[in-house]
Amino acid sequence: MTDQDHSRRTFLTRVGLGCVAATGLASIGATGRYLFPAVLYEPSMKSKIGRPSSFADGSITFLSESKIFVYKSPQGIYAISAICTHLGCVVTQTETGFSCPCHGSVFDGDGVVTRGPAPRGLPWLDVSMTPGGQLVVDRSRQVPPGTSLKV
Amino acid sequence: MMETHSTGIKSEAEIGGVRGLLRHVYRSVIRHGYPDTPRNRSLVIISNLFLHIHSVRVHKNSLRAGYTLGLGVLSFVFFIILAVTGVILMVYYIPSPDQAYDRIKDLEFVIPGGRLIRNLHRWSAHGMVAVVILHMARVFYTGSYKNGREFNWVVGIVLLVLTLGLSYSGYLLPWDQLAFWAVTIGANIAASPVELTDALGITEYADIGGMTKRLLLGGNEVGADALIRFYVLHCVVLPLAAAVGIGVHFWRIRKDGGLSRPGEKAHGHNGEAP
Ligand code: HEM
Ligand code: FES
Repeated sequence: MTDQDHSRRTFLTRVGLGCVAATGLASIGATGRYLFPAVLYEPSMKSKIGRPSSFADGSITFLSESKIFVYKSPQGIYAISAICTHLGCVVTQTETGFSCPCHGSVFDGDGVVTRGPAPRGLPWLDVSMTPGGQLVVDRSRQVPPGTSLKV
Repeated sequence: MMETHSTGIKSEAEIGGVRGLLRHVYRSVIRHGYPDTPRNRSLVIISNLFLHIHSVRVHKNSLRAGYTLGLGVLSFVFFIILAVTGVILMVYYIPSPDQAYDRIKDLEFVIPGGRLIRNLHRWSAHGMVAVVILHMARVFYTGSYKNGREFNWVVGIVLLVLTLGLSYSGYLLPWDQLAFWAVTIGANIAASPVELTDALGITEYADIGGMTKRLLLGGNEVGADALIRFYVLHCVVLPLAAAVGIGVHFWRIRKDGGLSRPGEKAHGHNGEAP
């Protein structure tokens, strides 16, 4: 066996093994990609919640579908998420704000944590108005606490 | 042709007739005589797939009930009960948000024997988790993870994780409030690397927690996709993985020279005494 044969054989072996490895990695990658949801079969993060007039002045309304509390105050309309920032249970309304049934987190009326284990306050969510006068809450967009929509 | 048969039987077929044939078939199933000699006793074990899980000869200590407390075997028995009752439950259970809860209720209240099967499955599931943890404690307190058995300890850890995974994935299937919120919480625990990536300010680029959660639930919330994913994990992926893992676990016990026992010579891979 000459040196040339040897190097050719080594080269082809490496190319072959490289192809096998590349195919294997590509299959793993493709399978991983396949498992990630490309389509979401769940309610949209944006929901129309009606006209401002359908909320009474000074009221707090719980919308169970989109899991939000809608406030109508003199400053305007704003929405606070009802999903506990600890591990995702839905909080219930109390006299002083909200409390979580799962591990006892307590929040005040502005969603600020007053007792753990929740690490953060309840998020305030983006509220906007369609040209047709419908309120829209986008649960995928948070706004700084205190933000409200003048109506 | 018959002369070369591995059992060394030759003349039955020559006897001819139905009797000869039956005897021939019998000898091909039961390949040994009555277990009244040491050799035949060994053959009983060796020539049977299920019995050969145990070796023909074991050290007296391995059979001492007070040593293993039978905890490993109990884990295995629970696993078998779960596999059998699980398959029976699969006949009626349908993993869809519209039907799952009603199907479980029908199993409880309408289908004859359904409640027994369901409760066998549920209690065995709780039992298996408890017993696997106790088995692990036994192995730890008897120091049986040493002397080359380190690898089998690691196999055991894999089995522990699989056991907990089976328990968690099965919990969602009844699709009741308890199931829904337990899995919501579990998925958010899986998403907890978000706290770390948030603190580092890199969640936007490397959202490991969020990706894990979406992979598990097939979405952002516990819905139809989460149910079917958990069903596939619970009924196919994890049981198969556990069966393979248990096979490796038992095989390693044999390769490690049977169970640990007092006075055993240290033969760890690094040659150190325990
Ligand atoms: C599906 C779960 C499991 C099953 C079915 C199982 C089964 C068994 C069985 C039947 C034995 C024989 C001795 C005995 O009965 O105690 C054994 C031994 C052993 N198991 Fe497990 N086991 C499981 C999980 C674990 C876990 C979680 C660990 C530790 C992390 C572990 C580590 C070991 C070790 C190191 C031995 C050898 C003990 C010795 O040599 O004395 N196993 N296992
Ligand atoms: S989920 Fe609200 S306190 Fe844990």
